[in-house]
Amino acid sequence: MSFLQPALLFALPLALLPVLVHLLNKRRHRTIKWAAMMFLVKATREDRGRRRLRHFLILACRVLAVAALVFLLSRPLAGGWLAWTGGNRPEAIVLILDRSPSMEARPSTESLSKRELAVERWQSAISDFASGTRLVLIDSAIGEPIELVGAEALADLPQTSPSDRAADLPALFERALEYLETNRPGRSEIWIASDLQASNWLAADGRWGAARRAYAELGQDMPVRVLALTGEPGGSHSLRLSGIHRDGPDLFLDLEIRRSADAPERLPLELTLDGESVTVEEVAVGQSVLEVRRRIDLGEREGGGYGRLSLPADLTPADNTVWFAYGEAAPRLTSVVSESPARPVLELLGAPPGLDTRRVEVFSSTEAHRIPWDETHLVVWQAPLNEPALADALREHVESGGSLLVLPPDEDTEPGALPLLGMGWAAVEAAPLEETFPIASWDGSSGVLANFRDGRPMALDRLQIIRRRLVDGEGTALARYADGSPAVVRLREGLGEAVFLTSLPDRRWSDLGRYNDLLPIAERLLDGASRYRGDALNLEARQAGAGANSWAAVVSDHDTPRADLHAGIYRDGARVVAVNPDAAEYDPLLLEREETEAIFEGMNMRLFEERVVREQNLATEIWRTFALAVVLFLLIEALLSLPPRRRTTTTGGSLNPSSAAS
Amino acid sequence: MSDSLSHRDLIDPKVVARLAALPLHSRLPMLGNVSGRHQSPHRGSSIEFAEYRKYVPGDDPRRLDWRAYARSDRHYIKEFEADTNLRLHLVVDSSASMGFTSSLASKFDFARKVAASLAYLTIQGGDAVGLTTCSEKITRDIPALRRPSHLQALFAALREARPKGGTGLVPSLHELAERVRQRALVVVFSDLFLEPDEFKDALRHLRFNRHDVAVFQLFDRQELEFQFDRPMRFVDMETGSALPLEPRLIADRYHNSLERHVEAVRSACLGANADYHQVVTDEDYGDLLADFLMARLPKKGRR
Repeated sequence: MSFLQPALLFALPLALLPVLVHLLNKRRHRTIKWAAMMFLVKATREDRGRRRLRHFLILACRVLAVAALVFLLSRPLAGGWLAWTGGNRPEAIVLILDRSPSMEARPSTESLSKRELAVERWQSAISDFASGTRLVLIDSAIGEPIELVGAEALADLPQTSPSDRAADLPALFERALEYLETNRPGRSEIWIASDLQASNWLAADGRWGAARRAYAELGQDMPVRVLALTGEPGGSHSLRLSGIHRDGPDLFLDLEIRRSADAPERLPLELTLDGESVTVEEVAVGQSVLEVRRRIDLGEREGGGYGRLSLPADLTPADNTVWFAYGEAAPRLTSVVSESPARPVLELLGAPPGLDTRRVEVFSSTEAHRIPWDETHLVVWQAPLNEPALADALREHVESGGSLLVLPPDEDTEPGALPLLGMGWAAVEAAPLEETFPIASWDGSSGVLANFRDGRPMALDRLQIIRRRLVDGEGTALARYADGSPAVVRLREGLGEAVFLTSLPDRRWSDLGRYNDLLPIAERLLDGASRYRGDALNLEARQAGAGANSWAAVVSDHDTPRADLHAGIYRDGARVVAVNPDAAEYDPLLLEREETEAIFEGMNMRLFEERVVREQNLATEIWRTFALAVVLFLLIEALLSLPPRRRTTTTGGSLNPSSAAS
Repeated sequence: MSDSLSHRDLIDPKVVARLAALPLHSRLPMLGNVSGRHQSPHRGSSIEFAEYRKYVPGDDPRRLDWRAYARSDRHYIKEFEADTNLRLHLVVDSSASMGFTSSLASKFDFARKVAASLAYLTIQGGDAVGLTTCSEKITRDIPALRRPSHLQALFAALREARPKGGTGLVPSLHELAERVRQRALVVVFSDLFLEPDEFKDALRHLRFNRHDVAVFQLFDRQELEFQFDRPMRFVDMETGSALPLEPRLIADRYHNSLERHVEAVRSACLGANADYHQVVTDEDYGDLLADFLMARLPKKGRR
């Protein structure tokens, strides 16, 4: 238990004051010589035990009331967490700290952030109940277990400082179980502190099931204690950069602005370019989410640069600023490798007529080694793959953030053909006469098949596909044929992605070329790759990768910025890199209690919800408990001390002195 | 106060003057040794007719009722009631508890004033008065005499008596019942802080020996009301043992216990056909005596 005024605890011996008063009072009895002693003896003998008990209770109530008063004045802060940590001291505690940007929210300007509060609660609980216990910390940004010497240094560790990376709670929990499985430290506990942000917990993720099995295999009823800091400060807003695009002297930024219901509708948006404040513009946010494109006139600025857009500070400080980097407007390069009749259509995909921001280069399969990998945004591959070096080059291209659109080879794959990113091709299938392979469903919510900005879906169901080659391998099906087999498959590798189509824009195969359905797919793949190409990069913290450690910080709000952890502007050689918080952090949805309990089903999980917005009230509640105790003890004391009802006639009845009998 | 007592302190002239006209009567026939105004169990020569009985040889022929002989031709003796004097025996409890007082006069002071006044009135009426004081045992025993000069001995004994020691009233009454052979009116003054059943036996013993008994149970006002406004340490006047208490907390039970005790004593008196008087020491003892004497006056039509 901790106290805001611990010095007042020295007054605790005052609780013995009633006992002292009682003893003094006993000495203050007036002595009287009494004749009718036999009645007193009878009166006191009748319920001496009950009377002594009552006196003892009165005295106990007085002592407890004074003690509770002293505790009340000492302002005890321990409450739920204290009660929550009751039990035997464990031999090891694995601490999982969510230090994602959303944990920087604070209920008021004076109070601690959720992350700081979690660390403080842990320190207090550990010092009170688990002193000497082996402590292991796994933070959400780095995810590696580190052993701690004691809880005192917890607040000063870089692993408990703010970060701009979203937390991957299933991975962290798996990591904790792995640690326990490997080290077998004896009776252990896992303590998790998080704000239960749904996008961090990924309740539907299959890894939770694996974690439950691993927990069961540990063979001990290990307590998992979740400190849920679910309070939400009012009047907050957030700003996210969803896209950036340069067109000559104009820089277009796609922004997403969210605000809570009690936040102001008009917000000033401040633009800083290359470290200098340029404009302040007021934005009207009529609804809870506003998606808006802002044009920035770069004017005479030459070469690359960086900037930031920021909203006024609120109580969730990590999501009010976006960083961006821009470079010279270089055309987006598409390298097409194809020798089939579909080649002209594929060539058009990379460089549609009239778009000078696009450039395309076409190669045959034998010339593929000449592809300029560093410049290429998108590789359109429609050829058999026979050279391992090419397979490696394609993989590196995707891992480094490039995009890959793969179409099936025109003919059946020859023996010895290599799989591409682990994916191979099935045999060519032809639809029966006068029938097609209709596409029945596709994911229009996100990805390359997402609906258009005006809400219209892509028209994949109109396609007439008469030949197809299905993909062999593990990937995410973005679209499916009516028979359930995947029509479009996506594979993420590193920073980039590869999309596999199962038919060709060739009239012998389908009418894919006729409706230009391929164009938005290619456009979206180019957009995705453009983040990682050119002399300016715009990344989320999780996308920066391990190599980002060596990038030099240019501007950041953090004291010791690291590109893979913290938002800001960095320089990777000549290239400017803007790092922003992970997109998942902007989703305000929290897990419900039932969802949390479902995640830990079968485990000894105890959830303690501490509403940060009512942090001050937490102390008050404990106050109230003690205040209530004082009142209760005094009330009981008063009831027990009530004098018995006074007799109205002390000489009535048989005590009438004038009565006489004869 | 007791040291400087004179018989004037024991007797209030106004009270005895007021009560002089009220004789003390016994409810039972007395066996006196001189003629008096109290009923005797024997036949005598008063003018009060008692009964006829058959003549037996040896009877005085002068007592034959010739009118009855004329009417019935039988010899009858006409008998008349005999009148004799009263023996009053005063028993004053002088145990330490009788010394309790919350005002000026203790229960013992009150008892000896009543006893002295009663003795004076009785001797003035020509009857005999004896006195016994007792604490754990009989401390003073003066036989009943009717001489006026006997009063001095009685008063001296009352003046010299001090309330001290434990209560031994019950064995004293048993002893008295045996020692006083002639019928007497025994008047007991005590706070009766004793076992009612034992007291009842003593009363029955007295009644068995044909004594008329009257009991005065004396209380101090504070003993009845038991009102204190602070914690008290009660010290037993007879044993010296102490009991620290919060009086307000036990007042109810004290009163209950006291009531039960008084009721038991009253029942014991009624069961033994003895008069019972509960007295509070702040009462006027003249009124108390007047009530006592009036209540014992013979009812009209009977002696």
